[in-house]
Amino acid sequence: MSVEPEVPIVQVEEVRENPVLYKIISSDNHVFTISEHAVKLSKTLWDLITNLGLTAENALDNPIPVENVNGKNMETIVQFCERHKYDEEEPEYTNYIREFVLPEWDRQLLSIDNEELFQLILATNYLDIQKLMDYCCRVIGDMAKDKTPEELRIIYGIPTDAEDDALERSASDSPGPSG
Amino acid sequence: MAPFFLLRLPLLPVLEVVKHMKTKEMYNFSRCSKKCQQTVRNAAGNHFELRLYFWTENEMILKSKKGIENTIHFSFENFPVIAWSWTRSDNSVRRFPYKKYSGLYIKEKELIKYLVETFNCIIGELRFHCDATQNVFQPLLNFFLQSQFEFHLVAFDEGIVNDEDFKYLMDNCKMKELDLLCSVAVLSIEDFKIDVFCLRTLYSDWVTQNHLLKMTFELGYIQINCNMKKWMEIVKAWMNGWNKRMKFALFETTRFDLDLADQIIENVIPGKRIDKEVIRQYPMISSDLNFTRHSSVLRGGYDFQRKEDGVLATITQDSGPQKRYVFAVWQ
Repeated sequence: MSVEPEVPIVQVEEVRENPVLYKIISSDNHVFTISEHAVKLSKTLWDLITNLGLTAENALDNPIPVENVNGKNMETIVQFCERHKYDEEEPEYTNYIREFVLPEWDRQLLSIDNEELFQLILATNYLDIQKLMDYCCRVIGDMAKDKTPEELRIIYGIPTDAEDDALERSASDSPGPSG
Repeated sequence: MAPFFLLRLPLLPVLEVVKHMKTKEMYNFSRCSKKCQQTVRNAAGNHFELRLYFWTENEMILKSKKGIENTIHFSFENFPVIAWSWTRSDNSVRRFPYKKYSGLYIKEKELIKYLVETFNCIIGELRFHCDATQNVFQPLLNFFLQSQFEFHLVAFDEGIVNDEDFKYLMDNCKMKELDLLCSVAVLSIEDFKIDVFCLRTLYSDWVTQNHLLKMTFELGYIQINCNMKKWMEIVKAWMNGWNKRMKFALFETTRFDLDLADQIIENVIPGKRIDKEVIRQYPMISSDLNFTRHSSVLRGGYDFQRKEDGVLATITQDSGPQKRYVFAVWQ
């Protein structure tokens, strides 16, 4: 008789080739395995692994809980990291110039609706994955191409100055925690 | 599709998104609201420069270090896309249909102020059409002087610069490069020190020996209507200590035969003829300056020394299509 695991385990194809694996648990209790090379793309996760003293021997017995990222985003992130784990290190940006071609595979991966993209960029920001952040920002920045300010206001849901002022007024008028 | 609520993201990702935009999109985004303008200001860093052309129809160019495709042209009074600007695509030009008969440049000033504030940019280049700005030059310059007094390039095109205006400019501004495609009566003012000096008056006779010998510069592009005698005097003047700052200059003229001048110079100036087969590369000074880039390979030439300190210089005909001399100082 087979026993169903308590939580679904997501296997990502590329992880099999690497002997050192880590387990990550998303906020909604999905468990992911990720290779060492891939997890290094996330500064936050790699710092955690280093600080927790996880090694090849004990890594799979000590899953890392990531409470700020749900399973759907974590799956995208693991896919991304496995795909790019052997990429050559990018030359440092000169603070401003962000010139690169977004690969088709990544464009497809990031062809998701705006709400999902929003959550993904929050997760990417939290996990500190520079390359995915660049790619997400490029996709979001590209939405502005050849658009007028009026169109941009709709695309990015930008309030007018009057709406911003009204919001600020109502925030300052509302009673504080003790009021 | 639901909007992507960009400004609800944490600040750093928002700035990253804006940095990924082209300059034109950054500008449009900044126009959405004050918050957006502030966001662009935070993202812009010090990567933008403004170039301002006050001609019969005025043009403002916001230039990004990201390259030519990230440049926006703002033009007033339906500025036509003319021959010299053929490289830019038509949609990079934003036209402001507006009549500026008052001469107050109100709309232009509004836009300049907005761009300077929003993109943290400096005004790098000021180019004035002498006739178009004849009566408004000083108030216009005063407007720029409110925010900065140092410019990379100041240029005057076409016509005659008012003496007082020119003195006012030289007294109140610093500039690395001065480009004169016009007549200036007071060019021989004392203390005329410019790093890069372009004087392009090939078809008029107003530049005198006195003018030339009062100015000093490091790099020069001098297009003057001078005869062979004047040219020899310039070379002699350098030997006697004129313009010790000079590193590299191009002298262009239509008046005399350069081959004949090459023969005569050997009798007038003590020095050494270098064979045409000998090629020397002058160490390049700035990649921004076209005239230095194309003329830095010296073929043969005539070498001579400054009397006071023995510094060596070479004059040789430029290998380019124009008939002109390269004057290179080896130091």
